[in-house]
Amino acid sequence: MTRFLTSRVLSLAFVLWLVTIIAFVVIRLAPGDPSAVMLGSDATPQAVAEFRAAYGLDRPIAVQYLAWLGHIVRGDLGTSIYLGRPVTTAILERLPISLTLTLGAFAIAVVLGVTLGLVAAYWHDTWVDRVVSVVAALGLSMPSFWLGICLIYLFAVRWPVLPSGGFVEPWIDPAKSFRHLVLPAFALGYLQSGLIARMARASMLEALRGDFVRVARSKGVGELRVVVKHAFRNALIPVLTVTGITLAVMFGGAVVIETVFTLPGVGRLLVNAVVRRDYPVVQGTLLVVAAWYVVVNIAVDILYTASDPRVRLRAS
Amino acid sequence: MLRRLMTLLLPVVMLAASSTAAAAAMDKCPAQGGTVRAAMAGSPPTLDFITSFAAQARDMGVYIYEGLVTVDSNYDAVPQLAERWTTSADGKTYTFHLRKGVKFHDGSPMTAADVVASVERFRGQSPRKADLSMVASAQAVDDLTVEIALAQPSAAFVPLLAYPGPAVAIMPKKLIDGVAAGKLPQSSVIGTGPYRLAEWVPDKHVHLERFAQYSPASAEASGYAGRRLACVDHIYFVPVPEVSSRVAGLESGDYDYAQNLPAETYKRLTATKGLKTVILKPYYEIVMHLNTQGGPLKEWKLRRAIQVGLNEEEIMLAAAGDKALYRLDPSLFFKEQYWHSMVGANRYNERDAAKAKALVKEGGYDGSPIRIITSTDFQFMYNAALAAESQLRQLGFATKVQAYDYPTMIDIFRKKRADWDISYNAFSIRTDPGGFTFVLKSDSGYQPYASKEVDTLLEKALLERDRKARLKLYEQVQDNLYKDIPMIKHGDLFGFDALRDRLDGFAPFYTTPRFWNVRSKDKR
Amino acid sequence: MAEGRRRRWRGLGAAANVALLGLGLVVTLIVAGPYVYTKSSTLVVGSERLRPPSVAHPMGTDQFGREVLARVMAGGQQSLRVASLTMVLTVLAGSALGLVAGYVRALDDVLMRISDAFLALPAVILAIALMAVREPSEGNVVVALVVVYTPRMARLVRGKALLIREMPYVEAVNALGARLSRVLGRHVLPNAMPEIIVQGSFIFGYAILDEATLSFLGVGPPPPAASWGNMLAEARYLIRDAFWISFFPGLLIGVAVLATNILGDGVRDRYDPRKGE
Repeated sequence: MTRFLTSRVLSLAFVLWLVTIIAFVVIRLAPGDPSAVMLGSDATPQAVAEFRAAYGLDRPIAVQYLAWLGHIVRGDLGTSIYLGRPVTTAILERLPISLTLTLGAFAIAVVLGVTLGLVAAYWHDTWVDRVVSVVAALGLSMPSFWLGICLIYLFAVRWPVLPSGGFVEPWIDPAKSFRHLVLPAFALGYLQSGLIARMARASMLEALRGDFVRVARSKGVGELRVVVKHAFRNALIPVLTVTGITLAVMFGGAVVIETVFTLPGVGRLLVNAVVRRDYPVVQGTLLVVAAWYVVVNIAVDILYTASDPRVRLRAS
Repeated sequence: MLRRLMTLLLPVVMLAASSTAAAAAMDKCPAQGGTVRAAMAGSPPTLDFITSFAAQARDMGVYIYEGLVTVDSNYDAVPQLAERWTTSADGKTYTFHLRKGVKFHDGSPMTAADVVASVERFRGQSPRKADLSMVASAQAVDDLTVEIALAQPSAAFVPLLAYPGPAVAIMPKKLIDGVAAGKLPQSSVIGTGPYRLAEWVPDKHVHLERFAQYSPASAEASGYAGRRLACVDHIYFVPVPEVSSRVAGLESGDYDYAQNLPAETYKRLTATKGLKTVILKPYYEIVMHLNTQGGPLKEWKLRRAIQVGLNEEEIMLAAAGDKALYRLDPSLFFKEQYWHSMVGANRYNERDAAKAKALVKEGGYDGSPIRIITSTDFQFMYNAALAAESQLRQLGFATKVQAYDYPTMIDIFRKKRADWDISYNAFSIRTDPGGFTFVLKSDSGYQPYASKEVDTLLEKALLERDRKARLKLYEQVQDNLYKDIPMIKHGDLFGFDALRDRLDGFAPFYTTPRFWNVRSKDKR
Repeated sequence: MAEGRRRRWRGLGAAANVALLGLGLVVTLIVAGPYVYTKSSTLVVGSERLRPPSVAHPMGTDQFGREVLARVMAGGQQSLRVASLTMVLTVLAGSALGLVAGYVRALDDVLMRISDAFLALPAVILAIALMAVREPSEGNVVVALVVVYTPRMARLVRGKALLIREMPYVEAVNALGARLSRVLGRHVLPNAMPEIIVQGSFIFGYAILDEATLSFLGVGPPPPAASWGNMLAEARYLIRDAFWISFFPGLLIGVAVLATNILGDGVRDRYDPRKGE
């Protein structure tokens, strides 16, 4: 198992490294001199000279890349042109919000998705199945900001039960934090639940048709027990993969939700940085998001290996 | 980029002004405590307020900082940190006597040395430094006396000193000495105002906290001046760039105040229980700057085509959203001011599309797109740009619109001339027509326009002591602007903000909400 | 040998047919509509601001007096252009990469690692970042979306190619000494075709959504060009007082994307009755 995990970690580290190359290249696609691009047009000549020296802008591109990598490894993601503060600080300030939102939405997506999928699978090919499919499909078809706007209108304006935006950290005031997060987390979670529901339905269906279940039923085990103990556990593993992907990808979906609900998270930081051409922030955010993806993937892999005996055996 | 003009005491204005002043006057707080949460149209780009033209910086700076002088409800310059001032006979030396016992937020006393350091820093680092170009030197005579010497006498000096955007804020010498522009750390944001900066989390909020040792001035509160009492303990300025979120947040009670609301919601919000709507008048005049130095609009005939062809009624209606929230007016100055003039007005709102199209041909327009930059922070600016763009296309121009947040747009306007042909802007009222010197004079580099004639007129006007003569000079400036067409004014816009009833004692003034002398009716 | 031949068209099931009809209606409206309804989508008419839907203004007017119907059609054309172009380019690039990766063992690892790197960046984020370095325009939106979707497409096609590679008849063809391109083009590709078509239809739907999202965030094609996304963005603050401005574009996005999703599902079911991977 450790060999499997090590190889996975290594391959993900490789992926992360490739991401740094992508981030490096993407920024250099911008028209103009890199120092002007990174520092902004009213930078002092001294600042420009320092920048050029630090990144070796007159040296070959490989050297520039290594210099930049050197900065990153030391945790220096550069300084935001617009905010005038280190990118790392800006991102760290906003990370708790994005993480709380993402995890909350993830919980909703999983609960909703798995429930819908199971229900659809158990009553497959009946009207229940069709309704669930439509509900899931709707989630995949709706623009997230549209859903967000509608939710705000319904629950914050028409029936003012929830706040329309803003954020309170959970450790400061859990009740208030919850109220601020309900709508955005639901908007984000519902949309992602479609894929999970689909996967859950498919694998649950397969499990229900499988040998374990037939044997259990023939032994006279109660229906509920059959479903929960035998079918569900077997259905879980493929669902785990999809769930992992969802969590990793959810960060992206959070971008739009943060904009609609005025949550000062990493997503909004990125969008603002793009419009303002604040390249250091754009670059830094890309790396952080990719790092998140890698971390989640490693976690999923660990869970995967731990839970599926077949994988464990194959790996050892 | 919002500039102010000086208002004169007209009866109508007096009435509005006195009600404004009365509503805001207070001897002491009837109740102490509570929090105000204000939803603002954007974020201040920096806490080094003197280095920014952004309205958002001014909105918050006025709570933290004070100046030697400031503006009252008539936009006249009145004392603030200076108790009084005297002028020498030749008009070249001003002696300001400071109030006693004024403390900075860190507890240290405000002295003349701090004033001198602040004025010098402003003259060195502020983009508005040209407004004080007549100043030769500033020195501390003793702890409470500052002497400012002018190179030449100028009627505009004190009003321009009082101008709040950005204000000549008085800061502690020890914290600002040697600090470059924009490099002021949060911990150094220390002033003498009724509120101190508790915390700034970019894009989240600016949190102000009542300054317990504040020394209010003795005069009745008026405008930004007089007795400002911090009855509310905490103020949160929350940037909510989403207009719909500002409205929704106000309606649901998340915010107590919402700035810059769309006209379409006016009727509904006015009728809503628990809410109060306020009209801010005068507010901004909406203008478009034309790039006279480069690009297709370098050609005068094409600028004239635009001037002749635009239908300002349409643009202002799109910008304001409601007929009650704007008025057409050709002057650089607001109707409420002495300096208002109709000179050159024959070239305002001519609406002659045929003539415009002919000029486009004559001007040899090559079809390159006219690049228009505008701001999303201010709905009126965005709307005006789109309305104008549609008209420009009708006149035969190719166009390209790009919208940014306001501080970024200003940055591009001022520093990236090659990237725009038309840039939107809004001017707020000036405490003195001299406040336009910076905007129009070629050596300030504010806009691409450069005219020796206008430069001379502006210089003369700063030095001229006779009011009537000054008026004539500014009228000539206005005439030149209509002839050279470096900018085109669309009209006057009125502002529309709204607040919850729980804020008692609020009265609108200028463009930024005043939460001093305001109490919250419930203890929240 | 049955896999080598295309199956005959047998119909896609009730849901998919309804979806096809719905999509057909939307596309007809968008493509043919402007010939019938010729009002401008960008002309500002102050006196006609905020009119609710009526005979004179079938979908009402927005805050600039522009006809919502005209803008919906123009925005729809933009969405269709972006989505079609994105789909075609992604299918071409993704299939090529996927086939090569799946079939040619030597290149598999490298290509997949690179595409993993792109997959590590969520679609929206990478697309936004790409828009940072280009001028906001329709063409650049397509470029950004193609860059974002190609790795995903490649991964799927690769999976199919891997399976096909193991099939006996392919080994036979190889043993007979066929050239790589011939094998890929004549034998592997046709079998991967159903999967490619299904994915293509999903990509079409995602492209509509993502183009709307980019426009909504302000990094898509600039105003006054109509785009379903920026129509929703511009009308955000009017949702209560003039709901029709956001209602119609929102509705059409939903219908179009839902239809392509259902269609995609239908095609997938048709060729592979077991739903799922």
